[in-house]
Amino acid sequence: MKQLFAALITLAVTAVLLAVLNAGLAGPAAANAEAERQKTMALLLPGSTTFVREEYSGEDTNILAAYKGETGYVVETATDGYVDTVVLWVAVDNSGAVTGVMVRDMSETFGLGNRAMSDPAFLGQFLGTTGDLTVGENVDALTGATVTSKAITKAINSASGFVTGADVSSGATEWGG
Amino acid sequence: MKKNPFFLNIVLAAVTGFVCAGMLLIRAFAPAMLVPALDLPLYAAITIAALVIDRYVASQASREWIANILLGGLTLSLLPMCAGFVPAESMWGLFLINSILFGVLTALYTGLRTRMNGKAAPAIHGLVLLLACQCLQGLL
Repeated sequence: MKQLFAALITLAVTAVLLAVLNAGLAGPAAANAEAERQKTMALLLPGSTTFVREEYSGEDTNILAAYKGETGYVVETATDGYVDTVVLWVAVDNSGAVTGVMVRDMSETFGLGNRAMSDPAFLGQFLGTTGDLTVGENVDALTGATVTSKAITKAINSASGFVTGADVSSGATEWGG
Repeated sequence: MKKNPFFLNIVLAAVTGFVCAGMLLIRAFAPAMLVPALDLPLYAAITIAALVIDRYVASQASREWIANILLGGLTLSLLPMCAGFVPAESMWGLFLINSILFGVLTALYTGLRTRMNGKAAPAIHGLVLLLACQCLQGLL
């Protein structure tokens, strides 16, 4: 009984310590996450330094949020990949051209779809494009990862459409937002 | 300590706490860093690590199976909730799943103990069990 009690005390103490640590780190975590977001977005969209989140009220279900910068938008998208949802940040400048792409979250197959996260040749082909992308026509898919490639292409088309106005209910109703 | 049937649960609490604290620190100070998701494969890895440590430190400990399993499931669900990784409403579902996971892994590891002797045997058993879990995850 004493041994069971010792195990329960250990569990309780560990739980309390974790709760205190979680509460104590909440402030720094939020501040650092926001700083990282601003820094990463500035890399994706050159010329912009501050990003303000805009509520998205359009009909494109692929778009989660849009962050407005001085020279364009960074659009956060979520599309269905082979295993699970693929979350992307796509930076589109005011002329409608893609300036940066970053995979923020994915659970695709290791060695196949997972390569989309860091394959420079695959991601690099999207830079400078302005939408209307189709795998097999103007987009080369990753070998063995066609579904993942299509998910990313769909996300980039959605992001470009948000800025160029292809999505008629987008907040960016004029060229350049 | 060598014959404490709940030493495994103490080690499990320590390992789970250590992992959760590490993930909290990474989330706070290195938010861009990719870390493994807190899901079944990670819970399995934590359980196997605790089993290996328990075997090395408390090699002669017996098992109070029901209490060990329930306490193990509680540890693997309560600590992530306290760390903020799991919402409170999911805790009881997670408790059920983690109790089953902990029970199965503990039973398998305990059964493996008789298959090999030697100083490295507990670590090798743990590695084999971890690889088996990853294969199963790949199949699922």
